[in-house]
Amino acid sequence: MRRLLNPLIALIFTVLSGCSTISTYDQTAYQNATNAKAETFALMDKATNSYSSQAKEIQALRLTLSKAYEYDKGRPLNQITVEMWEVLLDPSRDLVGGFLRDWEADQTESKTFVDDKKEQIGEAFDVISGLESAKINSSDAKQKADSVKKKNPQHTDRARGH
Amino acid sequence: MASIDWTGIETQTKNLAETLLGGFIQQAVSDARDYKEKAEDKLNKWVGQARAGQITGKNLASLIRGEADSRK
Repeated sequence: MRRLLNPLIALIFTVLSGCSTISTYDQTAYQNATNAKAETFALMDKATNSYSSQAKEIQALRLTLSKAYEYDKGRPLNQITVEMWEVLLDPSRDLVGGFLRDWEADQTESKTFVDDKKEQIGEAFDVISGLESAKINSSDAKQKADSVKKKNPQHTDRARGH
Repeated sequence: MASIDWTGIETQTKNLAETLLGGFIQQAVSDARDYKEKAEDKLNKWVGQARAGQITGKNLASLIRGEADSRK
């Protein structure tokens, strides 16, 4: 029976401590997403004015969004979040990238459309920040691994070849 | 050496899997229903706005495509 249990405990320990398939929580990434949402909303409110009159602000927002995307792109095990950013920013789709494309083509947008689009884009931002806040904190992950190790010191040491 | 009740373990594992899987399926069906209702409400609102001339046909198309994009 012990022969069966040892590898099982080793496997559980490995899963809990080292085989994460998604990145841990990152405060900067969370702040990037929430700031980008607020700045996007502030600029969208100006879309009832002409696109060309807001060129500077639009450029500033593009930079903010690009920084947030690049930050997440540089994190390991973060593919899901990166893909979300790509959909959000892609000018051939119809979220932030598409809104800026249409605003440029139309020059002004109606307040009703801006409000509807803000609701839609806001939900997409919330998915990104929601996923980030749901990720486990790296210190919590370490605590869990330490707690498993404390309960089964012999098994976990053996599992790591000590 | 004490004998192991493998049949009991098998039955308990099967019951646990069924309970867990049943919970996931129930949640998935409930989420899908909730999403469908919300999507229908939004679509009705946008179509009404387009009919009232508050948004253009292009705006309506953008909102519908954007909804699909946000579910990707």
